[in-house]
Amino acid sequence: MLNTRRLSSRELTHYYLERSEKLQPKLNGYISITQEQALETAAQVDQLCSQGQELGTLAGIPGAIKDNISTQGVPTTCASRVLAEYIPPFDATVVKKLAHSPMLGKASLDEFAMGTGNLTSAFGPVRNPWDLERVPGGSSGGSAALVAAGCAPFSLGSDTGGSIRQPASYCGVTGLKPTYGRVSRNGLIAFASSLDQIGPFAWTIEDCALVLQAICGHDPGDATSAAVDVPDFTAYLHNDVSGLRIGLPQETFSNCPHPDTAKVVLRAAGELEKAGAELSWVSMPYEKEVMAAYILVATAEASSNLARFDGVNFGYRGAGENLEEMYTSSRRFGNEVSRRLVMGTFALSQKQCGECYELGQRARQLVDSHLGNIFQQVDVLLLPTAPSPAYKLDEGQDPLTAYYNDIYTIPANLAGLPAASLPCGESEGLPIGMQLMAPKFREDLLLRVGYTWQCCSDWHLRRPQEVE
Amino acid sequence: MLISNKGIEETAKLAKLALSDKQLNALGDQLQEILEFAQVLGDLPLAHIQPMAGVYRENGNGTEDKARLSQAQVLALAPDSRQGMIRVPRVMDQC
Amino acid sequence: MDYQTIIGLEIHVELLTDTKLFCHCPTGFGAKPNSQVCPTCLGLPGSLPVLRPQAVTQALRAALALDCSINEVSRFARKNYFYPDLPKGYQITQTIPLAQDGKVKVGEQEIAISRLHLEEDSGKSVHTGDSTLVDYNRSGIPLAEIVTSPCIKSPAQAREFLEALRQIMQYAQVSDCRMDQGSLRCDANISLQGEEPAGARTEIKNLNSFKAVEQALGYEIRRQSEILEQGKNVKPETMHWNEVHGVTVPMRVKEESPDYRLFPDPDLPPLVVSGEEIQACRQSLPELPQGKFERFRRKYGLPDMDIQVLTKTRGMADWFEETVQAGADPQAAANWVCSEVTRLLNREGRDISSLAFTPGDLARLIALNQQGEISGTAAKQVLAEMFLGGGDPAEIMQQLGVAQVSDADSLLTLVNSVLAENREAVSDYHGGKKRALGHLMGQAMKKSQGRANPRKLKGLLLKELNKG
Repeated sequence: MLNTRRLSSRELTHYYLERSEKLQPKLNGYISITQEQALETAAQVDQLCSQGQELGTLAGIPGAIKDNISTQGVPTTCASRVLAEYIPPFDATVVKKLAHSPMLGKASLDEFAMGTGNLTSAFGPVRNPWDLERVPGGSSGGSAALVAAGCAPFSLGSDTGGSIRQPASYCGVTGLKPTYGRVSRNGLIAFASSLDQIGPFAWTIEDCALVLQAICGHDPGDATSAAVDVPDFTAYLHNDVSGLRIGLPQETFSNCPHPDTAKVVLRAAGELEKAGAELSWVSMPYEKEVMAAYILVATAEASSNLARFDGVNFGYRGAGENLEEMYTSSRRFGNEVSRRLVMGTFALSQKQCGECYELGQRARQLVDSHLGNIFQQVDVLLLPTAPSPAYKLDEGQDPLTAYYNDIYTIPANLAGLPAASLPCGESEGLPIGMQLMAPKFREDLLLRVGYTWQCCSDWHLRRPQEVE
Repeated sequence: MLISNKGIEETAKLAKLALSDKQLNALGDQLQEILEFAQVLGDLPLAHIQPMAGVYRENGNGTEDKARLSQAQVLALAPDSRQGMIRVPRVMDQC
Repeated sequence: MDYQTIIGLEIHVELLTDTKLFCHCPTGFGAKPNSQVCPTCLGLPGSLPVLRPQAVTQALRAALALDCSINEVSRFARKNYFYPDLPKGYQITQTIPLAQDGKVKVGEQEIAISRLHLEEDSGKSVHTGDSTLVDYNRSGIPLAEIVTSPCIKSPAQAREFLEALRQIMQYAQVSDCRMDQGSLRCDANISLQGEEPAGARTEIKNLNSFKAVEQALGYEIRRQSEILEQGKNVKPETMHWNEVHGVTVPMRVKEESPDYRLFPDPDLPPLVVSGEEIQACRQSLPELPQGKFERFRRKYGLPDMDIQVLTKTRGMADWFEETVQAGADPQAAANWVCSEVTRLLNREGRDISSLAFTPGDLARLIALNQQGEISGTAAKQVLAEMFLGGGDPAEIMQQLGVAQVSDADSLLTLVNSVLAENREAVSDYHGGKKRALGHLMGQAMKKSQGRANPRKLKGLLLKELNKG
């Protein structure tokens, strides 16, 4: 869809801005809508195009950017009171790479990207376009909902433990987390440095490939950015999976708490088998260990990354007669963030916790090796993205249950592997997503299987009625 | 090993967070969880496994953008400044 | 009761580099506050550190100059604590250090260096009234932390060690090591050991000169001895050196030792240095003070005291050698450089590199003096002129009119006129009063305004006197 150019950028951008403004009260998907800036970019691009300039494929196509990605001159809040008025003096690398895509606005998220339902934003929860009483998923709930509601043709999110894939699943759109190191983290406000990656949301895997193309690339300004070539991702969009070996993690399917989810995803696997893929069961038993490693590493890194929010040289500063008071009054995070910061501080403390962080890092290596072994036998893994469809906004989950929402997605973050979620069914009107995982730097496999799937299914063509 | 209230308070202080009693109470369970997770991992055969140093690859030698800021930009970001420097309440631990 | 003194030093040395350690900001001294900063050294959200290679080279050279062994793989780590001049809420330092097990010869003893590692500097805080004011220009500047083993045995030795360290660092052009400018900072640890195992260690901070280090350690020895004499225990605390009153004062006691929660920095890969790199750094080092001292001894046969002055700085040693290469006699050159040249430089607080004249010029001046063209006193005058504005010694000699008179005719005329004007002294001489010669010499020198060649004058005078 993004490839056709029958409208001018100005017209296209205007359309999406209008729809965004219209649905904002219902969805609350944006933290800020940047109308002026978007139209300015659109006008510029139209001008350049009319002068015969060759611009990138995404030029003129507007998108929304998760509000933990720095945008120069535009408030970047991380959905937190701590950064409510913070205006970055620089653009994130991905934003620079999307300079010709008019930015519709900054998409909402769970505060500092910590959450699975976009319920913890200081600016109010985001609602799922398929059922406004339910969560869109998190932490990139805004980015997912905006695409699902037709407010933006694509958006950028970030994924640390599933924060792109899970909301993609809940919102019935396609979301992709690249291999760790594919996309620069320069300008992404860090949650867990060794797990975070930025990635696209769109209706189709094809559109995701286009966005991926634009944002990937080695960045010397990010020491964790991989010096690997960026292939032409669109070249992998083949309707052909003959001979491809797809692995289905046994334990995940048999332990899945929501029967429809397992059923729907298995059915999708069956379709791919009909299309020529070879299915087999594989074993991925380390559920507890995966959760443990993730919690220890993610909270530990977060506690260190968020130490800079001290009210000293940027962001919110609270009152205080002395420095100590100033610190604590400035660090006015929400409950969820505070919790994780204390947990992470605890996990890093040799005195309190021994070698917790290191244990977590070792366990990761184990997960990575195990997955490496599995990928000797199969080419991609196929499993549900989430244990169940979107839950209700007021369902009040205890933290541990909330963690387990991420159980299927965490392994890809721990091992740094590329993974995507594609719409593959529904249960009681709520979307269900199937997750594909591939070895490092093998986004080509995700694209190939994803494209084949979307050629023989129409889940990605359905639209939520609630917002029409 | 149970987490003491003192342990929780000390940790919150280390993180410079002001927490309500309700939050502190709930934290006891969560920190306990951390220890349990560590226990779970402690039972794994991890002794000969290297910690994951990060998913790095060989880094190229490109030139980066030089992102200098002017004094004006720095002061515009700062909540309080004086004579070109950032101002905070005085640090108390020096003589 | 005699106690054995156990002293260790922890030194931070600012490395001479064009840019900071993890960003491109310049490192120059004296810029207006907060004008040499960027998102990275300001710790803005979304910023990332990227290691600059020049700092690694300088740290390697420092380590090699201190005879350390290099760890081919070392690790950056985060040291987490809150302080206004620490923008990220953590300092990037190293756990596995770049180098270890070095040594510096001080007198007859070798002081062991246990480790040398790289870390970033914090900003600079100024405490005034009820405020602390912070300038981040210094934030991110590369430091080498050098830790000695606790093998220093006296305050004087501590001072000598620091002088030797500074000399080596200056020779290698790794650091200026100026305590007054903050490019060398030092904390000292000291404990006393009697018959019992070593008493508790105290740490002393706020040492702003080498002299202060020596004095503060001396004071601590006395203070700790008194406590031990009374049969009490020394408290392991941190002391603040009060320069004005010459005492150490316990710093306000924080809780026990701070919990820094060190963990490997996930934003930075392990630091790997190759054998080739190490070799190249080794080769780039100039002859170091110890080596130069021994070579000067062998080659020039000068007394140790002279060599010490000559090799104090590399600049002076090189300058001296060039003077000898230009033809000057080594001892004469040493005398001139150590006395007159040094005196003039010290008077103006200048460095030998700023001299307006060259080693060749000095060699020529020395030659003129040794050939009898100019007296020692007059030569000093010429040197002073050369110091002011350069120039050729022979020309200056003529300009000043201080060329020694050595030709036979002029001297004969002078002698005859003096003999004629001092009949009484002449008869005294002939009468046996040999001292009259001295008087006649004095008169002749006065008459010639000190320009007569004394040796030749004396000879001629005697000859004429003995004629009759």
